[in-house]
Amino acid sequence: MRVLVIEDYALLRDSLVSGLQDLGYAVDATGDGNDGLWRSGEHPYDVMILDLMLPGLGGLDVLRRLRAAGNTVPVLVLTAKDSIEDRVVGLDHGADDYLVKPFAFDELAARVRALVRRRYDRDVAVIRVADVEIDTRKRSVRRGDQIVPLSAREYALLEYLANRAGHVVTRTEIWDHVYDAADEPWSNVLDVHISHLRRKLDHGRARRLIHTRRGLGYMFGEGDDE
Amino acid sequence: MRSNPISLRSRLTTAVLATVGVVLVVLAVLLYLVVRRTAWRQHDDGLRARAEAIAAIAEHDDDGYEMSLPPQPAGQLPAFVEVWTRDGSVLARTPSLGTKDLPKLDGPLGAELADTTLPDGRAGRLIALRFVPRDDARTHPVEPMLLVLAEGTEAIDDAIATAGVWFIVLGLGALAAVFGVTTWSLRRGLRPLTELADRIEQIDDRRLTTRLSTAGQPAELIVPIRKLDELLARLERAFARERQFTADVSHELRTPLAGLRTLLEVTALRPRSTTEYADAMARGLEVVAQLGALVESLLALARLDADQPALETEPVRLHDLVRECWSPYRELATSRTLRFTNDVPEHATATTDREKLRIVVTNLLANAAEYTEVGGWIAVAQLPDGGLEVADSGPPIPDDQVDRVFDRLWRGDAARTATGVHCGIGLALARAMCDRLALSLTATSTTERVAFRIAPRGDR
Repeated sequence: MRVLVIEDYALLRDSLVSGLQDLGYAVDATGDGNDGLWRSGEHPYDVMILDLMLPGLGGLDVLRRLRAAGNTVPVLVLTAKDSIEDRVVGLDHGADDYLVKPFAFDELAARVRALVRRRYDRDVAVIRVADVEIDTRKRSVRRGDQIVPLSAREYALLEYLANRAGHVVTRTEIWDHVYDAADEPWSNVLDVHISHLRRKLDHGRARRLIHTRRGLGYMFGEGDDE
Repeated sequence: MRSNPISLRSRLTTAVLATVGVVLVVLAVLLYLVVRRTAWRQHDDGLRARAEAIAAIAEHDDDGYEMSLPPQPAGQLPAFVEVWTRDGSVLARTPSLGTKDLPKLDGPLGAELADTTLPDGRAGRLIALRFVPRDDARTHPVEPMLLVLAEGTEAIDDAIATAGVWFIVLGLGALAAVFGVTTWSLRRGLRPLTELADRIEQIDDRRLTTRLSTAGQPAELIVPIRKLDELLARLERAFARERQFTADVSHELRTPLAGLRTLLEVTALRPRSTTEYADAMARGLEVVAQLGALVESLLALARLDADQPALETEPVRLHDLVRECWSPYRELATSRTLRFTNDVPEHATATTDREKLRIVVTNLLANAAEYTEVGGWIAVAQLPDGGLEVADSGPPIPDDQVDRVFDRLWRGDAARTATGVHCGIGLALARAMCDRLALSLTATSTTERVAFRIAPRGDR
């Protein structure tokens, strides 16, 4: 899942990026409202974390322009103001959730997970596809009664595929949602992660779940290879 | 213990009643005296007329003097008459005298009046009349006689006493009426005051938006009400400012706190290398230092507000002071490729409080080092009037914001890039310190330069 962090306080921004990356998110970050708005138009982010007090273009203006442009990315607003009016004004401008500074990182992570679930029309934290069970809270994966150990990036890739289970997912979409701007899009890193995932998840199983649709992309779920 | 203050109404009532009471008593006494005097005069006139009427009865003929007094009408208190001839023999006397005599007042021809006690013991008044009896014979020289008439004064005493009682009753009645009217009209007249008091009583720090309108108020209250309204407006603004300040302070503290907390929590997410831990600790300490500086500035400002610290003036070498103040920012300026020049003459001195001026200059330089655009310049110079100018290459402060830079916790969000924790307390503190030093601190901004000027204040 790919997250955009717009926060002008460098220390908080860096810490958020680092923490979210540790949780397997692809994270882009900026300290500038205009830059953030531009980035949100360039990539289909799964969640945006937006500080309200920004230099240049303020957080509320970012939100207003974002929604005016028809962008439906779930937005988690960070605010240092805790009055009811301040919270209401954020929600009224199209925010999906808010957190008052200072917040617990665990809470932020839980709220980001909830926004991702909503993004993919899930209402529980556990995704089940065939005999695969993905617990998005613990970020653990089981197939049948076996735990499948995955790296952070492999997990992120699987979670995205599982969220789109039954649909063909293009390589571009995977790039947009699983990798951040720091990754090199033309490298074979995606193929490497897919093959690792296949080895860990499908190897030695009668039924394979990761299917290649040549020229289109990949599909997760029960189905046949071409 | 609470003493009951005297109300304006009772004070006015007392004053009015005392005045009216004294006037009434004086008037009543004067009137009483006039009435009594008039009554006595009329009474005496009557007495004289009756004495003359009796004297007319006496006559002189060939047989000598002769006088027969008319009988006293029955049912009346007795009057007393006694008449003497020149030789002292009694010519006539009323039977009511019995064996007693009336005082034989002697004097020239005419009448003499006096208070007396009647032979029967009653209070009375007598008239002694020397007269010449009617002479029918015209043969002998007629000698004058003395007539004394004494009558009781019960009637006139009663009348005067009654008048006195009436004066007292009417006076008391008038006083009561005045009391009633005064109380009523004072209550009515002072109603705007009591209503105002009620409205003022309802005002507390949560209801500072209340205004006491002057509409329909009496002229005397217009000025106090207007002044009160102005005071309320000032109070409301002050309270709002304090609330905003508290909110801003908590806001300024929340952002670095959020950074610190997230930094620590994220670092603790998983085991990390020693380098990563060291890095996190270094960054954490930076935040702590920023928070510390923020708290120090806030405290300095609060202390400056609360009690005025004493000034310790001495000659200060300005060039050296600027150099010392700049040294903590040299590194930051180098990293932002800012050029710094200290153009203050080596020998320039000012007699002032060194530590307070240091706080002012430090804050101006910190502001410049933080906000001047990368690659710009910062210059400190002495002004012709002896003041100091801290100028930088901008970015310019928008016209409508220039005066607001000295507001507490102002953040030039629109124009100036916040570099992490910034809190606009520095310039507010600098200005407050300048006030204390009897200096003025002003800002000017053009497209080429932003300048802060410290100058001796004209009004001192």
